[in-house]
Amino acid sequence: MLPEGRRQMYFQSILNPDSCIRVFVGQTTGIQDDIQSPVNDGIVFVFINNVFSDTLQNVESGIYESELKPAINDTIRIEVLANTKMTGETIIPTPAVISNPEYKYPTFYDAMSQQNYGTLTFSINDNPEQENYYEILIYNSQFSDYTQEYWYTYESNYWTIYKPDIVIQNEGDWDFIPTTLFFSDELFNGKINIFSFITHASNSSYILLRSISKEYYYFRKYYTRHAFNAQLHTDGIHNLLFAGEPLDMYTNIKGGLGVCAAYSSTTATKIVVIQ
Amino acid sequence: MIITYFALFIGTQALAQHTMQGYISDTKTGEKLIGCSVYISSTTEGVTSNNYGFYSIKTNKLPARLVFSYIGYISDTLEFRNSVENSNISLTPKTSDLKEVEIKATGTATSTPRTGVLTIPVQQIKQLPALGGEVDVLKAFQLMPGVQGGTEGTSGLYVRGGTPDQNLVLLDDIPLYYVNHIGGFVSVFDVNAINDIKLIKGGFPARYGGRLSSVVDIRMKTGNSTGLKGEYGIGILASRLFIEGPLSKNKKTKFMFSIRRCNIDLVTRLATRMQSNLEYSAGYTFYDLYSKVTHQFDAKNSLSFSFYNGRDNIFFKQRDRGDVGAVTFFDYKANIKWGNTLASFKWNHQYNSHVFGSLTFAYTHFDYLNGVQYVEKNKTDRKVVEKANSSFVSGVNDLILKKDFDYFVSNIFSLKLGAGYTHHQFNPGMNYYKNVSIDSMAGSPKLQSDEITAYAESDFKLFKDVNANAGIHFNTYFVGGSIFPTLQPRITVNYKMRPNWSVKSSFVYMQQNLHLLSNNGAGLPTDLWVPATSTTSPQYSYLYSLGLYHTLKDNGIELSLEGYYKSLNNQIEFSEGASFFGGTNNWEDKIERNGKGKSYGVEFLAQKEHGRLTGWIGYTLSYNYRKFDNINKGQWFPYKFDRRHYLTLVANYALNENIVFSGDFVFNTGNAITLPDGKYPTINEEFNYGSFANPFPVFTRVYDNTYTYPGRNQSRMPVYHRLDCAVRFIKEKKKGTREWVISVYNVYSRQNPYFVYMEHDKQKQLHLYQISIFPIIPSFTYVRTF
Repeated sequence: MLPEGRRQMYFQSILNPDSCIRVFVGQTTGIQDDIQSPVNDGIVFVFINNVFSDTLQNVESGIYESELKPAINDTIRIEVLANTKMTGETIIPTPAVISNPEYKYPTFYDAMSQQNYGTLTFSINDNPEQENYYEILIYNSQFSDYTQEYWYTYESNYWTIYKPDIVIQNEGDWDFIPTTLFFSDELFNGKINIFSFITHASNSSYILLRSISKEYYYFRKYYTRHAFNAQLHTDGIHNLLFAGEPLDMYTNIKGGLGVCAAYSSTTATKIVVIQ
Repeated sequence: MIITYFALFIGTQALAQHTMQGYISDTKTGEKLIGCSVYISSTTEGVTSNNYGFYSIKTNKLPARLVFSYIGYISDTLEFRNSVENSNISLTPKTSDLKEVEIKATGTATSTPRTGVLTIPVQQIKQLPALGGEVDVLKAFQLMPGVQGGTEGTSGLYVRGGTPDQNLVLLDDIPLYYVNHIGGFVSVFDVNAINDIKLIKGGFPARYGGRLSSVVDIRMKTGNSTGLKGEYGIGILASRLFIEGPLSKNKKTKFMFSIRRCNIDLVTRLATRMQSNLEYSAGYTFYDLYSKVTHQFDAKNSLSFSFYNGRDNIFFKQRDRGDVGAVTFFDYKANIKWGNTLASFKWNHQYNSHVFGSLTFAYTHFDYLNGVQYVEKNKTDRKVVEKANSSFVSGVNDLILKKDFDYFVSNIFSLKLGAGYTHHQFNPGMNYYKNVSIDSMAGSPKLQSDEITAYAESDFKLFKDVNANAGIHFNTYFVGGSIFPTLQPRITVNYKMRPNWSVKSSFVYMQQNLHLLSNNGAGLPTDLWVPATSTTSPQYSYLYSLGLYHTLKDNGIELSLEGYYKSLNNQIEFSEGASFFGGTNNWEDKIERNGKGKSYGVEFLAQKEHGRLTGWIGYTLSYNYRKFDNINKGQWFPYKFDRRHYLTLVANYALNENIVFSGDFVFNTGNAITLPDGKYPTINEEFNYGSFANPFPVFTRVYDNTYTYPGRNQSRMPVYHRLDCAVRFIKEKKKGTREWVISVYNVYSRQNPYFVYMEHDKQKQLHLYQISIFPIIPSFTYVRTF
């Protein structure tokens, strides 16, 4: 029998300057319950730079929304009153710019899979004034015969990158099969760093850089390990033998579980392919 | 105080005019008997033979009668009228129906000052039921209180809350690093090659050091000096051959050779080749090779060379000849290999009638390799067009030089002194990749470290009815410019309250300069041996024990009740289950350090070693916890093998000389595991397909369930229990014996959990399932001695 733990309150809010402030409030459920337990009678306040700014409205099941959009460098504090008081806070980071994304192909042949790979390089100019955290997203296009449109596939995770840059390796998350590429500026603080990935790309690939808040960085880091060790993406006995000990999820919510985090992004840049 | 005693007993020695000394051996094989009890019949004074069968005892007056007593042998006496240079004696092994002329001796457990010493005679181990018919010495010790196995069927030892890396496994005084074959189902020790084995779980004498939780001291046979003898056996799991005998006419040189090979690959090679139309083969095999040559130069000098090599190999080979018209073909090989190699030279020298010394020079090695090789060639000229190798390698090499002395000062005071030097070279784990254009490596760099050890240990009489074993173990460990010196005190005191009753207490401090990074599950030796460094300090422990011992007069049953408390410090563990396959970071970046452990409990043992019915009942009540700053929110949590109750029953019954029944029963609390007790959705921004119409793809926000946990290892697997039985049919042949062994593992086919996992059913309901891998398993083994 699986154990039954006590119910706990949580809220989730990932903020960015392009979207209205949204908060998802709920209560944990039993491990064998088939339903979620959203909370719709909560009261959700938002404080911007320590000034009360709005009371969020319940718009969907468990989802509360404000018409306000946070601005870059704003400190956002969210307070939720729902059975208990929960508080979370984050800062909207300054967007960072990616430059010179180039893809050289072919540069590497993998004999085992008998596939050619190329090397993707690009630069980030790190702001020396503060600790910075980033997330990189790479997209490849595919043409859909069904919709007669190009569609983008997300291509920046453990399965699609043959060898990540040393900065990613240094994060120590690669063994846990991350679904996004997130990293800190620990190795290149205040400098221009050139990244190098052995991966697939094409003439219609784009790369997008996000600046992420410290909370977002830790949320991704913990989620990656939590998901790997709990086999969230592999039902049953698959991959069981090498899974590690279970890890609690990251939370920066006082009085509950969940996360209050943020990111900022700039426009995606097209990758230049060099044959 | 020690110096005072030294002076006092040197004085005592001066009074003792006559020294009787010699070697004690087995009549049939000439093997030396270790730990044989020798005492003067008119007094209660006695000594025991050392690891080479040597004894030295003193008396003030002659004539004197010496009594020699050893478990499984008929006791014998020697009458001394004059002091003689050498008084060697051979004892005859008992057969099951022999009625021994009993010389009433006090029980071993109550007379020796040792605590926590477990011995099972090799002959008794051979009679125990075995999984797949393969008798295993380490699994036999898992049936004793205070010693537990890991997951079912494995031979890893968890001694008093310790971990397998905290066991010092010595083969002829030299450590072996990894002592299990695949999954730990069989250990590397071939019972045929072993003369003596004991496991010490507490009250460690000062001569041992380097591990925290136990010492498994295994002595290889030296070889039969009476004539060429041998044994072969064929079982389902393995086949073996053992030969021993003299190498020279004067019998001064003798040898022992033993080899065991796993049979599984013989079946799997054939099956996979047939299945794949000869394209590939796969399987698993292992072997163990033991060899020892001993030359006796004269009565006081002998030289021996011991060698062990064992290897496991999981393999997959593919040979693709290519389609018709293809210009190339390829060979693909994947292997996981691991194994130990040990070689040692030992020179034994008897300096005089009361000082015995040995000088040892040895090399021990363990390595693990997980490799893939791909070679592509032209069909026409066989020229290599593509070649690639990828491998993960880890291992450890030790070079050891040591000198030990046994000084029999008097009958109530003996000294053991020694010193040694060890050079370690560690390869904690390196990934290699090589093809025509790339030659790269990533991982943890090799590390060198050195150890200097010295010890002084004494068995002495403290007061009337109070004996003690006390000593000090000195160790200095050098690594990367850091030095870790330690003085490790050890003391055991035995108070003999009444005849056949004694109380013993011990305190030991142990230090271990190695760590083992253990990955979860798998059962492969995917554990990394790593040295302590300036940032990952040596682990150390304190162990306190107190016990009450009693020997029943009528039937010689020995009873013991022993309590212990052990604290472990500087423990390490992988940070939240990091996998090191393909790992690019240094191992020190992947671990939690400065962990603490504590275990305590009470052990009961009732053991009958004589007569047709032998065996024991063991019960352990224990608690075992760990604590790391960054695990379980810094709170204490139960260790994976924290088992509250552990009950074992073992019985051997010799119906007559030809038929022997044996059985064992094990019952224990289920292993501690971590299971979630709740869940909630978390935003996982998995990026689904986006539309090209946008400047960049539209994100689809995905919510994934994440779990809440009540804490590390707060749940339990179901209880474990199992009954095994065996019967041996023995027949004397013209030359040697023939044995058929029928063994049944898990007689009532209990579905014990090997591991548990969660899975959704068709209604999307999450359930907990268990995998059981050992149902009832009958096996047959044929053994022939000649």
